[in-house]
Amino acid sequence: MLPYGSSRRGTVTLGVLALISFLLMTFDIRSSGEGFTQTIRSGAQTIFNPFQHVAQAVIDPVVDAFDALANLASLREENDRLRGEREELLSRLAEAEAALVENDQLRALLALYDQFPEYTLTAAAILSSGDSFDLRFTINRGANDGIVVGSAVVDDAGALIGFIVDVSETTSTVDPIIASGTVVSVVTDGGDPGIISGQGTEDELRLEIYDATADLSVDSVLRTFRHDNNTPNGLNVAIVTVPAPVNVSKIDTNSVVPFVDFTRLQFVTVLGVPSDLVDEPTDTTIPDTTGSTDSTADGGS
Amino acid sequence: MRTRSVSLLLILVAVLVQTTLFSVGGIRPFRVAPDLVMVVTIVAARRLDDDAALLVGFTGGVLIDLLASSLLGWRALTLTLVAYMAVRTRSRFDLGLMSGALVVLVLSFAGVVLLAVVGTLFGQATLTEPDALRRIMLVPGYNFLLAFLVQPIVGRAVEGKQRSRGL
Repeated sequence: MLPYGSSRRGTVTLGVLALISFLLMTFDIRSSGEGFTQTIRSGAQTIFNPFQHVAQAVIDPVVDAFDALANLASLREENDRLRGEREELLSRLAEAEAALVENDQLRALLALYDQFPEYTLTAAAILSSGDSFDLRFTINRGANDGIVVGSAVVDDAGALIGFIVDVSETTSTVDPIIASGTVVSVVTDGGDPGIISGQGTEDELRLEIYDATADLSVDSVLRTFRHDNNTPNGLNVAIVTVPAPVNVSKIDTNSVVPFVDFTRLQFVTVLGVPSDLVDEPTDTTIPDTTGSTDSTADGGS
Repeated sequence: MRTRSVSLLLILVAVLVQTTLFSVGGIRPFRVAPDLVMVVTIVAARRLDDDAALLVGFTGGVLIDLLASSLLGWRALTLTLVAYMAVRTRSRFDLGLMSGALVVLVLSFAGVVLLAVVGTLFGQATLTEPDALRRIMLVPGYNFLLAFLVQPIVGRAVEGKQRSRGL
C-alpha cells in the first residue's frame, strides 16, 4: 500500500499534467497547428531528425527481415504466379543494399521528370509516423529543399499518395489519401467527376459521384481531376474492386482501394509547383482515358 | 535520481524506436503497430515513485505528439493517465514476468480505448474509422508480447545490478 502523502502528491501531479495536456490540445486546435505549436514541433523534429536517421539505418535490416518472414508465410496461400513474383521480390529484398535502393529511386525520379515536365520533383524517404491511430507520416525533406504546404506527393510510378500539410526546415508531414478527412477530386474512365475520401484504413476509400452517367466496373481507375492548382490532373488515385452501378444518378461505394500499396511505401516524390505557375487557373481538361495522350495513363504502383 | 534519469532515457529510446521501427513501412503486422512507448511507460511507472512515473508518461506522450504532428497533448494526456493507472495498481500485481505482461495487456487496452475516446472528443475521428476496433484489439495484444522483452530491460536499467523481475 502506498503512503497517503505519496498517493495524494501523485494525484495532484496527475491533475497538473492532465490540465497541461488539455491546454495543449485546446491551444493546438485553436491555432490550427500554427504559431507556438508549429514552432515547438519543428524544433522537436529538428532535434530528433539525426537520431531517427541513425536509428533508421540500424532498423532497416530488421524491418526487411521481418517483411521477408511475413511474406514467406503468406506465399503458401497464393497461386503459382504470385508466389513466383513474391519470391523474386524477397530475393531482391534480401540482396538489396542501400545504394541499390537509392539507385532505383533516382531512376524512378528520372522517369517522373518526363511525366511531370512542368513540376519540380523532390525525392524523399519516409522518416517516421505516429501510431496506428495516425496515418500521417514525416518525410526527410522540408522548407530547405523547397517543399511547400499543399504539394502533391506521389510514389515512384506517379500514383497519388497524399498531400503536404506541414513543413519544417528539414522535414515535412504528409497527409495520405487514406487518412480520415482527406478528400481528392477525381474522374472516372468515363469522364464522370467525383470525390474520394479517406476512411482511416489502408485498404478502403469512399467514392461519391453525384452525376454518374455510367456504371463502374471492376478495375476502373480513378484519377485526379481539378483537385487544386498544386495537383496535376490524371494522377492514378484508386481502383474499383466491386462493380458499382448508378443509383438515381449517383454512385456511392466503399469498394475502392488506393492505387498505392501503403504497406510497402519507403520513398516518395513531392511535386512542387514553380512559383510562376501557382496562381494560374487549373487545367480543366478531362484526362484522355485511352492512354494515347495522357502521360499518366500507365502510372501507378 | 538515477532511476528517474534512466527512465526518461528509456522513454526517449522508446519514442525513437516507435517512430522508426514501427512507423509506415516498418513492422506493422496486420497494418497495426504495437505501442512501445505505452509499454515502457507502464513497466517503468510500476518501478518509480508517483511523480516520476507520471512525468515519464507525459514526456513520452508529448514527444510522440510532436514527432507525429498529431494533436499536441493527445497522447500526453493518455499516457499520463495510463501511468497513473499503473502506479495505482502496482501493489496488487507484483508477482512476476507473466503477471506483469498481463497488467500491460489490461492497461494497454484501457490506454488504447482512452486514446480513441480522447481523440474522437477532440476531432481526430479515431472511433469512427473502420479499423478502430481492430486497432483496439490488436495493440494490447502486441503490447502484451512486447512486455516480455521490455520488463527485463527496464528492470536492469532502472534497478542497476539488482536482479530484474516482473513488474
